[in-house]
Amino acid sequence: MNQSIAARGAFFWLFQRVTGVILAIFLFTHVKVLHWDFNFTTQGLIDFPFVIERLQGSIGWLIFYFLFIISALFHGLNGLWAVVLDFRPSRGVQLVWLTILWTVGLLTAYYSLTTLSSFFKGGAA
Amino acid sequence: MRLRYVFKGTKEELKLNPNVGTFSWFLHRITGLLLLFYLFTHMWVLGSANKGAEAFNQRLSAVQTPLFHFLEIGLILVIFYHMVNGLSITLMDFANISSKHKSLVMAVVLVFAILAIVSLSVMLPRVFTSHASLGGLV
Repeated sequence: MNQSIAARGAFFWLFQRVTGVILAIFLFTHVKVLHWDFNFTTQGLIDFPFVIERLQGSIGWLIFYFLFIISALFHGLNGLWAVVLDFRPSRGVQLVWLTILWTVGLLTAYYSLTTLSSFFKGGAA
Repeated sequence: MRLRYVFKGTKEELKLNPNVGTFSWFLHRITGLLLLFYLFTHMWVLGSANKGAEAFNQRLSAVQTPLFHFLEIGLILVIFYHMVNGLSITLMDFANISSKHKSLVMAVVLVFAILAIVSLSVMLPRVFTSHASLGGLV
């Protein structure tokens, strides 16, 4: 392994930890707000007006969910990459996986950030 | 990648090295893959908002039934296991305490148990509330 590949591996290793810690904080907040504090038996089931009221025009939640989405996608797909590497695939198979992971990651990021933006604006664009 | 070898290799690993670390490694992998799958379905459900309020309400009411509210508790437990175990891995990496990894596993179990008890006591009773009276699907 040459030095640049080692450095790249170390970067992804470090970012898996960084996004992991970010996710622990954000996901705990997300679970607490929407699954513990929010009680559907007294406040009703979640619907569009509920989400809009919570997220429309809120810069705080916009930043929160922006970082949340990016971190979750990176962490999840990089984690899957680690699982793939455990099986010592050939260089060709690695390239196929990398292409799939990057494509899926970028498309899902675009899709979910579009959703986030429509919540922030108060409805579909 | 041949799936048969993947399963066989994983089984061998657990059999040859039946230590607590191997099991937490295995559980971390499985819960991680489950969470990645959930992340995509979660984004797909919420993404219906791009088609308007009607589409969003329709898709969201389909996943707010007693069955889904029950499965949701399982999801939260999977999240907390992966979270607490992941934080312990990070702690081991940066705090140089890998020699104490067995006490760390105990700490993981303890913290996870507390989070699981809180989640279950808060969320489980709600599953048995009449969803029809909330205007939802049953």
